[in-house]
Amino acid sequence: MEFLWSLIGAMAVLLICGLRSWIKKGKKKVTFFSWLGIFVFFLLALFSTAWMISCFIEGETRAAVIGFSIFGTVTMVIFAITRKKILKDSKTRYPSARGAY
Amino acid sequence: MKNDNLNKGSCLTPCEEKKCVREKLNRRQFFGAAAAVGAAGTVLASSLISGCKAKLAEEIRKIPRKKGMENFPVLITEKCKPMDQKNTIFCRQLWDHDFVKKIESEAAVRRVALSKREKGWRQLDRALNAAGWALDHQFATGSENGQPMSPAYDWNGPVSDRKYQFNNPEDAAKKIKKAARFLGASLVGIARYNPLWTYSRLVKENLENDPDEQKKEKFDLIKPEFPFTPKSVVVIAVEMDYKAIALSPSSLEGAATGLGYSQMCAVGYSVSTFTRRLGYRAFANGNDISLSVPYAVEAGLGELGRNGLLITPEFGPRVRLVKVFTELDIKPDRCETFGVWEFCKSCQRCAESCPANAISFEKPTTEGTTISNNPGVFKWYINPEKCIQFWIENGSDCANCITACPYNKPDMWHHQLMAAAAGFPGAPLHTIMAKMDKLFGYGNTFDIKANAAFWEEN
Repeated sequence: MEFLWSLIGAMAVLLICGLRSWIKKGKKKVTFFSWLGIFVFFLLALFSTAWMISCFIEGETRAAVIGFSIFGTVTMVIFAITRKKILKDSKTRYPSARGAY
Repeated sequence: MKNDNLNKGSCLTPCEEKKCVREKLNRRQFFGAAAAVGAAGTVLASSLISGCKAKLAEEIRKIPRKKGMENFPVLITEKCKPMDQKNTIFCRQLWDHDFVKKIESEAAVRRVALSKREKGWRQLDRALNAAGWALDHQFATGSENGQPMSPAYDWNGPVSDRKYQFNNPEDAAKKIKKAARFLGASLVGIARYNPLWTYSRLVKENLENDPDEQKKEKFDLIKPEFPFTPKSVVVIAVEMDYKAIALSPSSLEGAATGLGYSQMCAVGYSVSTFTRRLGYRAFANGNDISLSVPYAVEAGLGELGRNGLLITPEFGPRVRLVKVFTELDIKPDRCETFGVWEFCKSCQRCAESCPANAISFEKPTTEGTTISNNPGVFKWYINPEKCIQFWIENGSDCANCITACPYNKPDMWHHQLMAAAAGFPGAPLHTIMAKMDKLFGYGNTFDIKANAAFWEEN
Protein backbone atom coordinates (compact mmCIF):
# COMPACT_ATOMS: atom_id res chain seq x y z
CA MET A 1 0.00 0.00 0.00
CA GLU A 2 2.81 2.36 0.89
CA PHE A 3 4.50 1.52 -2.40
CA LEU A 4 1.30 2.39 -4.25
CA TRP A 5 1.01 5.78 -2.57
CA SER A 6 4.69 6.45 -3.28
CA LEU A 7 4.10 5.58 -6.94
CA ILE A 8 1.13 7.97 -7.15
CA GLY A 9 3.18 10.70 -5.49
CA ALA A 10 6.06 10.14 -7.90
CA MET A 11 3.68 10.31 -10.89
CA ALA A 12 2.23 13.57 -9.58
CA VAL A 13 5.69 15.09 -9.16
CA LEU A 14 6.74 13.99 -12.67
CA LEU A 15 3.57 15.45 -14.14
CA ILE A 16 4.05 18.78 -12.38
CA CYS A 17 7.74 19.00 -13.41
CA GLY A 18 6.91 18.09 -16.99
CA LEU A 19 4.13 20.66 -17.07
CA ARG A 20 6.35 23.39 -15.65
CA SER A 21 9.04 22.87 -18.27
CA TRP A 22 6.44 22.69 -21.07
CA ILE A 23 4.82 25.89 -19.86
CA LYS A 24 8.16 27.75 -19.50
CA LYS A 25 9.62 26.53 -22.79
CA GLY A 26 6.59 27.13 -24.94
CA LYS A 27 5.65 30.37 -23.13
CA LYS A 28 2.24 28.95 -22.36
CA LYS A 29 -0.34 30.72 -20.25
CA VAL A 30 -2.08 28.49 -17.73
CA THR A 31 -5.08 30.01 -16.01
CA PHE A 32 -6.94 28.74 -12.97
CA PHE A 33 -9.40 26.78 -15.12
CA SER A 34 -6.55 25.18 -17.05
CA TRP A 35 -4.93 24.06 -13.80
CA LEU A 36 -8.29 22.69 -12.72
CA GLY A 37 -8.53 20.79 -16.00
CA ILE A 38 -5.03 19.37 -15.52
CA PHE A 39 -5.90 18.30 -11.97
CA VAL A 40 -9.17 16.65 -13.06
CA PHE A 41 -7.39 14.94 -15.96
CA PHE A 42 -4.76 13.51 -13.61
CA LEU A 43 -7.40 12.22 -11.18
CA LEU A 44 -9.48 10.67 -13.95
CA ALA A 45 -6.45 9.04 -15.56
CA LEU A 46 -5.46 7.61 -12.21
CA PHE A 47 -9.02 6.45 -11.53
CA SER A 48 -9.40 4.79 -14.95
CA THR A 49 -6.10 2.94 -14.62
CA ALA A 50 -6.80 1.88 -11.03
CA TRP A 51 -10.31 0.71 -11.99
CA MET A 52 -8.96 -1.42 -14.80
CA ILE A 53 -6.24 -2.99 -12.68
CA SER A 54 -8.62 -3.68 -9.77
CA CYS A 55 -11.17 -5.35 -12.05
CA PHE A 56 -8.49 -7.53 -13.59
CA ILE A 57 -7.30 -8.53 -10.11
CA GLU A 58 -10.82 -9.63 -9.12
CA GLY A 59 -11.21 -11.51 -12.41
CA GLU A 60 -13.89 -9.29 -13.98
CA THR A 61 -12.39 -8.69 -17.43
CA ARG A 62 -15.56 -7.22 -18.92
CA ALA A 63 -15.86 -4.67 -16.11
CA ALA A 64 -12.20 -3.74 -16.61
CA VAL A 65 -12.55 -3.15 -20.35
CA ILE A 66 -15.88 -1.32 -20.25
CA GLY A 67 -14.82 0.74 -17.25
CA PHE A 68 -11.56 1.76 -18.87
CA SER A 69 -13.39 2.64 -22.10
CA ILE A 70 -15.95 4.84 -20.38
CA PHE A 71 -13.71 6.54 -17.85
CA GLY A 72 -10.83 6.70 -20.34
CA THR A 73 -13.04 8.48 -22.88
CA VAL A 74 -14.06 11.05 -20.29
CA THR A 75 -10.38 11.48 -19.38
CA MET A 76 -9.41 12.11 -23.01
CA VAL A 77 -12.23 14.62 -23.46
CA ILE A 78 -11.05 16.57 -20.40
CA PHE A 79 -7.48 16.36 -21.73
CA ALA A 80 -8.50 17.69 -25.13
CA ILE A 81 -10.54 20.57 -23.67
CA THR A 82 -7.76 21.55 -21.25
CA ARG A 83 -5.06 21.41 -23.93
CA LYS A 84 -7.17 23.51 -26.29
CA LYS A 85 -7.81 26.05 -23.53
CA ILE A 86 -4.11 26.32 -22.69
CA LEU A 87 -3.13 26.74 -26.33
CA LYS A 88 -5.89 29.30 -26.90
CA ASP A 89 -4.93 31.31 -23.81
CA SER A 90 -1.28 31.20 -24.89
CA LYS A 91 -2.13 32.54 -28.37
CA THR A 92 -4.05 35.45 -26.80
CA ARG A 93 -1.16 36.32 -24.48
CA TYR A 94 1.62 35.74 -26.95
CA PRO A 95 0.15 36.72 -30.32
CA SER A 96 3.63 37.00 -31.86
CA ALA A 97 3.99 33.21 -31.46
CA ARG A 98 2.33 32.82 -34.85
CA GLY A 99 3.66 36.20 -36.21
CA ALA A 100 0.21 37.76 -36.51
CA TYR A 101 1.35 41.36 -37.26
CA MET B 1 1.97 47.31 -41.34
CA LYS B 2 3.05 43.76 -42.14
CA ASN B 3 0.45 41.93 -44.16
CA ASP B 4 1.53 38.30 -43.85
CA ASN B 5 -1.90 37.60 -42.54
CA LEU B 6 -3.02 34.19 -41.47
CA ASN B 7 -5.88 33.77 -43.90
CA LYS B 8 -4.62 34.53 -47.36
CA GLY B 9 -7.46 35.44 -49.66
CA SER B 10 -9.60 36.86 -46.84
CA CYS B 11 -11.31 40.22 -47.44
CA LEU B 12 -11.05 41.24 -43.81
CA THR B 13 -8.13 43.10 -42.29
CA PRO B 14 -6.11 41.09 -39.76
CA CYS B 15 -7.62 43.13 -36.98
CA GLU B 16 -11.18 42.48 -38.11
CA GLU B 17 -10.37 38.81 -38.66
CA LYS B 18 -9.04 38.45 -35.16
CA LYS B 19 -12.17 40.05 -33.75
CA CYS B 20 -14.32 37.73 -35.86
CA VAL B 21 -12.46 34.61 -34.68
CA ARG B 22 -12.63 35.75 -31.06
CA GLU B 23 -16.38 36.30 -31.36
CA LYS B 24 -16.90 32.88 -32.96
CA LEU B 25 -14.87 31.18 -30.27
CA ASN B 26 -16.82 32.99 -27.56
CA ARG B 27 -20.15 31.94 -29.03
CA ARG B 28 -18.92 28.33 -29.40
CA GLN B 29 -17.70 28.33 -25.87
CA PHE B 30 -20.97 29.80 -24.68
CA PHE B 31 -23.10 27.15 -26.37
CA GLY B 32 -20.79 24.34 -25.25
CA ALA B 33 -20.82 25.55 -21.66
CA ALA B 34 -24.58 26.05 -21.75
CA ALA B 35 -25.11 22.50 -23.03
CA ALA B 36 -22.84 21.02 -20.35
CA VAL B 37 -24.43 23.09 -17.58
CA GLY B 38 -27.90 22.26 -18.88
CA ALA B 39 -27.23 18.50 -18.90
CA ALA B 40 -25.66 18.51 -15.45
CA GLY B 41 -28.40 20.75 -14.11
CA THR B 42 -31.14 18.48 -15.47
CA VAL B 43 -29.69 15.39 -13.83
CA LEU B 44 -29.08 17.22 -10.55
CA ALA B 45 -32.48 18.89 -10.50
CA SER B 46 -34.37 15.70 -11.31
CA SER B 47 -32.39 13.86 -8.65
CA LEU B 48 -33.18 16.51 -6.06
CA ILE B 49 -36.82 16.68 -7.08
CA SER B 50 -37.28 12.91 -6.91
CA GLY B 51 -35.48 12.91 -3.55
CA CYS B 52 -37.85 15.55 -2.25
CA LYS B 53 -40.85 13.75 -3.72
CA ALA B 54 -39.93 10.57 -1.84
CA LYS B 55 -39.88 12.45 1.47
CA LEU B 56 -43.10 14.18 0.56
CA ALA B 57 -44.77 10.86 -0.25
CA GLU B 58 -43.94 9.50 3.17
CA GLU B 59 -45.24 12.60 4.93
CA ILE B 60 -48.42 12.52 2.89
CA ARG B 61 -48.94 8.88 3.67
CA LYS B 62 -49.37 9.56 7.40
CA ILE B 63 -49.44 5.93 8.39
CA PRO B 64 -49.23 5.72 12.18
CA ARG B 65 -46.24 3.77 13.37
CA LYS B 66 -46.40 1.03 15.97
CA LYS B 67 -45.67 2.27 19.50
CA GLY B 68 -42.04 1.83 20.40
CA MET B 69 -40.99 1.39 16.75
CA GLU B 70 -40.93 5.06 15.79
CA ASN B 71 -37.17 5.10 15.24
CA PHE B 72 -36.98 1.84 13.33
CA PRO B 73 -35.78 2.48 9.74
CA VAL B 74 -38.62 0.35 8.35
CA LEU B 75 -42.17 1.57 8.89
CA ILE B 76 -43.94 -0.84 11.26
CA THR B 77 -47.68 -0.32 11.71
CA GLU B 78 -50.00 -1.44 14.50
CA LYS B 79 -51.19 -4.22 12.22
CA CYS B 80 -47.85 -5.99 12.56
CA LYS B 81 -48.07 -8.90 15.04
CA PRO B 82 -45.76 -11.77 15.90
CA MET B 83 -46.03 -14.31 13.11
CA ASP B 84 -47.22 -17.89 13.59
CA GLN B 85 -44.34 -20.12 12.53
CA LYS B 86 -46.89 -22.57 11.13
CA ASN B 87 -47.47 -20.17 8.24
CA THR B 88 -43.83 -19.84 7.20
CA ILE B 89 -43.26 -21.42 3.83
CA PHE B 90 -41.06 -24.21 5.22
CA CYS B 91 -43.52 -25.23 7.94
CA ARG B 92 -46.48 -25.11 5.56
CA GLN B 93 -45.03 -28.13 3.83
CA LEU B 94 -45.85 -30.12 6.99
CA TRP B 95 -49.57 -29.38 7.04
CA ASP B 96 -50.74 -27.54 3.90
CA HIS B 97 -51.14 -30.67 1.77
CA ASP B 98 -53.07 -28.92 -1.02
CA PHE B 99 -50.29 -26.40 -1.39
CA VAL B 100 -47.64 -29.13 -1.46
CA LYS B 101 -49.57 -31.10 -4.09
CA LYS B 102 -49.93 -28.00 -6.26
CA ILE B 103 -46.27 -27.01 -6.26
CA GLU B 104 -45.04 -30.58 -6.64
CA SER B 105 -47.20 -31.21 -9.70
CA GLU B 106 -46.22 -27.89 -11.35
CA ALA B 107 -42.56 -28.40 -10.52
CA ALA B 108 -42.47 -31.93 -11.95
CA VAL B 109 -43.39 -30.65 -15.40
CA ARG B 110 -40.47 -28.22 -15.49
CA ARG B 111 -37.92 -30.34 -13.63
CA VAL B 112 -37.20 -32.57 -16.62
CA ALA B 113 -35.99 -29.68 -18.75
CA LEU B 114 -33.83 -28.24 -15.95
CA SER B 115 -32.12 -31.56 -15.21
CA LYS B 116 -30.52 -31.53 -18.63
CA ARG B 117 -28.02 -28.92 -17.42
CA GLU B 118 -24.85 -30.63 -16.28
CA LYS B 119 -22.32 -28.02 -15.22
CA GLY B 120 -22.99 -27.23 -11.57
CA TRP B 121 -25.07 -30.40 -11.07
CA ARG B 122 -22.51 -33.17 -11.38
CA GLN B 123 -21.52 -35.56 -8.61
CA LEU B 124 -18.52 -33.36 -7.79
CA ASP B 125 -20.76 -30.31 -7.35
CA ARG B 126 -23.42 -32.15 -5.35
CA ALA B 127 -20.74 -33.61 -3.07
CA LEU B 128 -19.53 -30.10 -2.28
CA ASN B 129 -23.12 -29.06 -1.62
CA ALA B 130 -23.59 -31.92 0.85
CA ALA B 131 -20.28 -31.06 2.52
CA GLY B 132 -21.32 -27.44 2.94
CA TRP B 133 -24.50 -28.48 4.74
CA ALA B 134 -22.86 -31.26 6.79
CA LEU B 135 -22.31 -29.40 10.08
CA ASP B 136 -25.75 -27.85 10.01
CA HIS B 137 -27.44 -31.18 9.31
CA GLN B 138 -25.47 -32.86 12.07
CA PHE B 139 -25.74 -30.27 14.85
CA ALA B 140 -28.66 -28.02 13.90
CA THR B 141 -30.92 -30.57 12.26
CA GLY B 142 -33.97 -29.02 10.72
CA SER B 143 -33.24 -25.54 12.06
CA GLU B 144 -33.04 -24.13 8.54
CA ASN B 145 -36.68 -25.18 8.16
CA GLY B 146 -37.65 -23.81 11.56
CA GLN B 147 -37.15 -26.80 13.87
CA PRO B 148 -36.34 -25.39 17.34
CA MET B 149 -34.02 -26.75 20.03
CA SER B 150 -31.56 -28.63 17.85
CA PRO B 151 -28.28 -29.52 19.67
CA ALA B 152 -26.43 -26.35 18.56
CA TYR B 153 -29.46 -24.19 19.34
CA ASP B 154 -30.43 -25.82 22.63
CA TRP B 155 -32.12 -23.44 25.09
CA ASN B 156 -30.73 -25.13 28.18
CA GLY B 157 -26.96 -25.20 27.84
CA PRO B 158 -24.81 -25.43 31.03
CA VAL B 159 -24.12 -22.07 32.73
CA SER B 160 -21.14 -21.25 34.92
CA ASP B 161 -21.84 -20.58 38.63
CA ARG B 162 -19.43 -17.64 38.65
CA LYS B 163 -20.84 -14.49 37.07
CA TYR B 164 -18.24 -12.32 35.35
CA GLN B 165 -18.75 -8.67 36.32
CA PHE B 166 -18.52 -6.31 33.37
CA ASN B 167 -17.77 -2.66 34.16
CA ASN B 168 -20.95 -1.53 32.39
CA PRO B 169 -23.12 -2.50 29.38
CA GLU B 170 -20.65 -0.75 27.03
CA ASP B 171 -17.86 -2.94 28.35
CA ALA B 172 -20.06 -6.02 27.86
CA ALA B 173 -20.76 -4.97 24.25
CA LYS B 174 -17.06 -4.48 23.51
CA LYS B 175 -16.03 -7.86 24.90
CA ILE B 176 -18.91 -9.86 23.44
CA LYS B 177 -18.24 -8.36 19.99
CA LYS B 178 -14.52 -9.08 20.26
CA ALA B 179 -15.28 -12.70 21.18
CA ALA B 180 -17.80 -13.04 18.35
CA ARG B 181 -15.29 -11.80 15.76
CA PHE B 182 -12.63 -14.10 17.15
CA LEU B 183 -15.04 -17.04 16.94
CA GLY B 184 -15.83 -16.41 13.27
CA ALA B 185 -18.40 -13.64 12.95
CA SER B 186 -17.97 -11.45 9.87
CA LEU B 187 -20.21 -8.74 11.38
CA VAL B 188 -21.67 -8.41 14.87
CA GLY B 189 -24.16 -6.02 16.43
CA ILE B 190 -26.32 -5.82 19.54
CA ALA B 191 -30.09 -5.28 19.68
CA ARG B 192 -32.67 -5.23 22.46
CA TYR B 193 -34.90 -8.30 22.66
CA ASN B 194 -38.22 -7.59 20.93
CA PRO B 195 -41.07 -10.14 21.30
CA LEU B 196 -42.57 -8.80 18.04
CA TRP B 197 -39.89 -10.67 16.10
CA THR B 198 -40.35 -13.99 17.94
CA TYR B 199 -42.89 -16.39 16.45
CA SER B 200 -46.16 -16.55 18.36
CA ARG B 201 -46.14 -20.37 18.09
CA LEU B 202 -43.33 -22.73 17.17
CA VAL B 203 -43.57 -25.84 15.04
CA LYS B 204 -41.81 -28.81 16.63
CA GLU B 205 -41.63 -31.75 14.27
CA ASN B 206 -42.04 -35.27 15.65
CA LEU B 207 -38.86 -36.67 14.23
CA GLU B 208 -39.19 -40.08 15.91
CA ASN B 209 -41.14 -42.48 13.75
CA ASP B 210 -43.46 -44.52 15.94
CA PRO B 211 -45.60 -46.77 13.72
CA ASP B 212 -47.96 -47.55 16.61
CA GLU B 213 -48.94 -43.96 17.06
CA GLN B 214 -50.43 -42.69 13.87
CA LYS B 215 -50.64 -38.95 14.47
CA LYS B 216 -52.73 -36.88 12.11
CA GLU B 217 -50.09 -34.11 12.04
CA LYS B 218 -46.40 -34.84 12.30
CA PHE B 219 -45.69 -31.82 14.48
CA ASP B 220 -46.70 -30.02 17.67
CA LEU B 221 -47.39 -26.34 18.08
CA ILE B 222 -45.62 -25.02 21.16
CA LYS B 223 -45.34 -21.60 22.77
CA PRO B 224 -41.93 -19.92 22.78
CA GLU B 225 -41.47 -20.17 26.55
CA PHE B 226 -37.77 -19.69 27.05
CA PRO B 227 -36.05 -20.68 30.33
CA PHE B 228 -35.32 -16.97 30.89
CA THR B 229 -36.51 -13.63 29.57
CA PRO B 230 -33.91 -12.45 27.07
CA LYS B 231 -32.67 -8.88 27.49
CA SER B 232 -30.19 -8.55 24.65
CA VAL B 233 -29.68 -10.17 21.28
CA VAL B 234 -26.20 -10.58 19.80
CA VAL B 235 -26.77 -10.54 16.04
CA ILE B 236 -24.04 -12.17 13.97
CA ALA B 237 -23.66 -12.10 10.19
CA VAL B 238 -21.51 -14.68 8.44
CA GLU B 239 -20.24 -13.88 4.96
CA MET B 240 -20.89 -16.37 2.14
CA ASP B 241 -18.36 -17.05 -0.59
CA TYR B 242 -18.65 -14.46 -3.40
CA LYS B 243 -17.56 -16.69 -6.29
CA ALA B 244 -19.74 -19.63 -5.30
CA ILE B 245 -22.84 -17.48 -4.77
CA ALA B 246 -22.26 -16.07 -8.27
CA LEU B 247 -23.02 -19.57 -9.63
CA SER B 248 -26.67 -19.35 -8.65
CA PRO B 249 -28.93 -21.26 -8.99
CA SER B 250 -26.71 -24.34 -9.24
CA SER B 251 -25.71 -26.97 -6.70
CA LEU B 252 -22.42 -25.13 -6.22
CA GLU B 253 -24.25 -22.03 -5.02
CA GLY B 254 -26.17 -24.34 -2.67
CA ALA B 255 -22.80 -25.37 -1.24
CA ALA B 256 -22.10 -21.73 -0.31
CA THR B 257 -25.55 -21.42 1.30
CA GLY B 258 -25.11 -24.69 3.18
CA LEU B 259 -21.68 -23.64 4.38
CA GLY B 260 -23.25 -20.39 5.59
CA TYR B 261 -25.77 -22.36 7.67
CA SER B 262 -22.99 -24.57 9.05
CA GLN B 263 -20.95 -21.51 10.01
CA MET B 264 -24.04 -19.97 11.62
CA CYS B 265 -24.39 -23.07 13.77
CA ALA B 266 -20.69 -23.12 14.71
CA VAL B 267 -20.37 -19.40 15.50
CA GLY B 268 -23.76 -19.14 17.20
CA TYR B 269 -23.05 -22.13 19.44
CA SER B 270 -19.55 -20.82 20.25
CA VAL B 271 -20.75 -17.33 21.18
CA SER B 272 -23.58 -18.71 23.32
CA THR B 273 -21.09 -21.02 25.06
CA PHE B 274 -18.79 -18.05 25.71
CA THR B 275 -21.68 -16.10 27.26
CA ARG B 276 -22.77 -19.06 29.41
CA ARG B 277 -19.20 -19.56 30.64
CA LEU B 278 -19.33 -15.96 31.87
CA GLY B 279 -22.30 -16.98 34.01
CA TYR B 280 -25.13 -15.59 31.90
CA ARG B 281 -27.84 -17.75 30.35
CA ALA B 282 -27.79 -17.67 26.57
CA PHE B 283 -28.74 -19.72 23.54
CA ALA B 284 -28.31 -19.34 19.81
CA ASN B 285 -30.96 -19.52 17.11
CA GLY B 286 -31.04 -19.22 13.35
CA ASN B 287 -34.25 -19.52 11.33
CA ASP B 288 -35.96 -21.46 14.06
CA ILE B 289 -37.62 -19.28 16.68
CA SER B 290 -37.48 -15.69 15.49
CA LEU B 291 -37.03 -13.45 12.49
CA SER B 292 -33.42 -12.52 11.78
CA VAL B 293 -33.60 -9.56 9.40
CA PRO B 294 -35.44 -7.15 11.78
CA TYR B 295 -32.96 -7.93 14.56
CA ALA B 296 -30.07 -7.30 12.17
CA VAL B 297 -31.58 -3.95 11.16
CA GLU B 298 -32.02 -3.01 14.84
CA ALA B 299 -28.43 -4.02 15.54
CA GLY B 300 -27.19 -1.63 12.84
CA LEU B 301 -25.84 -4.31 10.51
CA GLY B 302 -27.69 -3.04 7.46
CA GLU B 303 -31.00 -2.21 5.83
CA LEU B 304 -33.97 -4.12 4.45
CA GLY B 305 -33.82 -4.54 0.66
CA ARG B 306 -36.39 -5.12 -2.06
CA ASN B 307 -35.52 -8.84 -2.03
CA GLY B 308 -36.58 -9.13 1.61
CA LEU B 309 -33.02 -9.72 2.77
CA LEU B 310 -30.61 -7.72 4.90
CA ILE B 311 -28.32 -5.54 2.77
CA THR B 312 -25.04 -4.85 4.55
CA PRO B 313 -22.56 -2.14 3.50
CA GLU B 314 -19.69 -4.66 3.50
CA PHE B 315 -21.17 -7.67 1.69
CA GLY B 316 -24.58 -6.61 0.41
CA PRO B 317 -27.13 -9.42 0.94
CA ARG B 318 -24.42 -12.09 0.82
CA VAL B 319 -24.66 -12.96 4.52
CA ARG B 320 -26.37 -15.48 6.78
CA LEU B 321 -27.69 -14.38 10.17
CA VAL B 322 -27.59 -16.10 13.55
CA LYS B 323 -28.65 -14.60 16.89
CA VAL B 324 -27.74 -15.27 20.50
CA PHE B 325 -30.46 -14.45 23.04
CA THR B 326 -29.06 -13.69 26.47
CA GLU B 327 -30.08 -12.33 29.88
CA LEU B 328 -26.86 -10.27 29.94
CA ASP B 329 -27.49 -6.53 29.67
CA ILE B 330 -25.46 -5.35 26.68
CA LYS B 331 -25.51 -1.84 25.25
CA PRO B 332 -27.48 -1.99 21.99
CA ASP B 333 -26.21 -0.49 18.73
CA ARG B 334 -28.05 2.12 16.70
CA CYS B 335 -29.81 1.46 13.41
CA GLU B 336 -27.71 2.51 10.43
CA THR B 337 -28.92 3.49 6.97
CA PHE B 338 -26.84 4.12 3.88
CA GLY B 339 -29.33 4.71 1.08
CA VAL B 340 -30.50 1.15 0.34
CA TRP B 341 -34.21 1.96 0.56
CA GLU B 342 -33.92 4.79 -1.99
CA PHE B 343 -31.67 2.74 -4.27
CA CYS B 344 -33.98 -0.28 -4.22
CA LYS B 345 -36.85 1.92 -5.44
CA SER B 346 -35.06 2.46 -8.76
CA CYS B 347 -32.92 -0.64 -9.09
CA GLN B 348 -35.18 -3.76 -9.36
CA ARG B 349 -32.27 -6.01 -10.42
CA CYS B 350 -33.30 -8.71 -7.94
CA ALA B 351 -36.85 -8.71 -9.30
CA GLU B 352 -35.56 -8.95 -12.89
CA SER B 353 -33.26 -11.85 -12.05
CA CYS B 354 -35.78 -13.89 -10.03
CA PRO B 355 -36.67 -16.94 -12.13
CA ALA B 356 -39.87 -17.45 -10.14
CA ASN B 357 -41.05 -13.84 -10.47
CA ALA B 358 -41.43 -13.85 -6.70
CA ILE B 359 -40.01 -10.37 -6.03
CA SER B 360 -42.25 -7.36 -6.40
CA PHE B 361 -41.74 -4.72 -9.12
CA GLU B 362 -44.45 -2.59 -7.51
CA LYS B 363 -44.27 0.09 -4.84
CA PRO B 364 -43.88 -0.99 -1.21
CA THR B 365 -47.04 -1.83 0.70
CA THR B 366 -48.21 -3.07 4.11
CA GLU B 367 -50.16 -6.02 2.71
CA GLY B 368 -48.55 -9.35 1.90
CA THR B 369 -49.44 -11.59 -1.04
CA THR B 370 -49.86 -14.95 0.77
CA ILE B 371 -50.43 -16.31 4.29
CA SER B 372 -46.67 -16.82 4.46
CA ASN B 373 -46.19 -13.04 4.59
CA ASN B 374 -46.59 -11.12 7.85
CA PRO B 375 -48.62 -7.96 7.07
CA GLY B 376 -48.20 -4.61 8.76
CA VAL B 377 -44.65 -3.82 7.63
CA PHE B 378 -44.21 -1.20 4.89
CA LYS B 379 -41.89 -3.02 2.49
CA TRP B 380 -41.73 -4.99 -0.75
CA TYR B 381 -43.35 -8.34 -0.04
CA ILE B 382 -41.92 -11.36 -1.84
CA ASN B 383 -44.09 -14.33 -2.77
CA PRO B 384 -42.61 -17.30 -0.86
CA GLU B 385 -44.90 -19.77 -2.65
CA LYS B 386 -43.41 -18.92 -6.04
CA CYS B 387 -39.94 -18.90 -4.55
CA ILE B 388 -40.19 -22.38 -3.00
CA GLN B 389 -41.78 -23.74 -6.15
CA PHE B 390 -38.66 -22.79 -8.09
CA TRP B 391 -36.44 -24.38 -5.45
CA ILE B 392 -38.28 -27.66 -5.96
CA GLU B 393 -38.03 -27.40 -9.76
CA ASN B 394 -34.39 -26.48 -9.47
CA GLY B 395 -33.50 -29.33 -7.13
CA SER B 396 -31.61 -26.90 -4.90
CA ASP B 397 -32.12 -23.52 -3.29
CA CYS B 398 -31.66 -20.34 -5.31
CA ALA B 399 -29.71 -17.17 -4.56
CA ASN B 400 -30.32 -15.19 -7.77
CA CYS B 401 -31.58 -12.19 -5.82
CA ILE B 402 -28.33 -12.14 -3.85
CA THR B 403 -26.13 -12.61 -6.92
CA ALA B 404 -27.86 -9.87 -8.92
CA CYS B 405 -27.92 -7.27 -6.14
CA PRO B 406 -25.56 -4.37 -6.99
CA TYR B 407 -24.52 -4.22 -3.31
CA ASN B 408 -23.19 -7.78 -3.57
CA LYS B 409 -19.54 -7.11 -4.38
CA PRO B 410 -16.11 -8.24 -3.18
CA ASP B 411 -14.45 -5.96 -0.66
CA MET B 412 -12.46 -3.68 -3.00
CA TRP B 413 -12.04 0.09 -3.09
CA HIS B 414 -13.91 0.77 -6.32
CA HIS B 415 -17.00 -1.13 -5.11
CA GLN B 416 -16.89 0.71 -1.79
CA LEU B 417 -16.72 3.98 -3.74
CA MET B 418 -19.74 3.04 -5.86
CA ALA B 419 -21.70 1.93 -2.78
CA ALA B 420 -20.94 5.29 -1.17
CA ALA B 421 -22.04 7.08 -4.36
CA ALA B 422 -25.29 5.08 -4.30
CA GLY B 423 -26.04 6.76 -0.98
CA PHE B 424 -26.69 10.07 -2.75
CA PRO B 425 -30.40 10.66 -3.33
CA GLY B 426 -31.91 10.70 -6.80
CA ALA B 427 -33.79 8.12 -8.84
CA PRO B 428 -32.08 8.95 -12.20
CA LEU B 429 -28.64 8.46 -10.63
CA HIS B 430 -29.70 5.14 -9.11
CA THR B 431 -31.27 3.92 -12.34
CA ILE B 432 -28.07 4.76 -14.23
CA MET B 433 -25.96 3.01 -11.61
CA ALA B 434 -28.12 -0.13 -11.72
CA LYS B 435 -27.92 -0.21 -15.54
CA MET B 436 -24.16 0.35 -15.45
CA ASP B 437 -23.79 -2.51 -12.97
CA LYS B 438 -25.44 -4.81 -15.50
CA LEU B 439 -23.41 -3.36 -18.38
CA PHE B 440 -20.18 -4.02 -16.52
CA GLY B 441 -21.14 -7.70 -16.30
CA TYR B 442 -21.87 -7.98 -12.58
CA GLY B 443 -24.71 -10.04 -11.17
CA ASN B 444 -25.06 -12.64 -13.94
CA THR B 445 -27.06 -15.77 -13.09
CA PHE B 446 -27.47 -19.14 -14.82
CA ASP B 447 -23.82 -18.83 -15.84
CA ILE B 448 -22.94 -22.33 -17.09
CA LYS B 449 -19.37 -21.34 -18.10
CA ALA B 450 -18.66 -19.97 -14.62
CA ASN B 451 -19.93 -23.23 -13.09
CA ALA B 452 -17.58 -25.19 -15.34
CA ALA B 453 -14.65 -22.88 -14.48
CA PHE B 454 -15.19 -23.12 -10.68
CA TRP B 455 -13.06 -26.25 -10.26
CA GLU B 456 -10.29 -24.95 -12.56
CA GLU B 457 -9.48 -21.94 -10.34
CA ASN B 458 -7.34 -22.19 -7.22
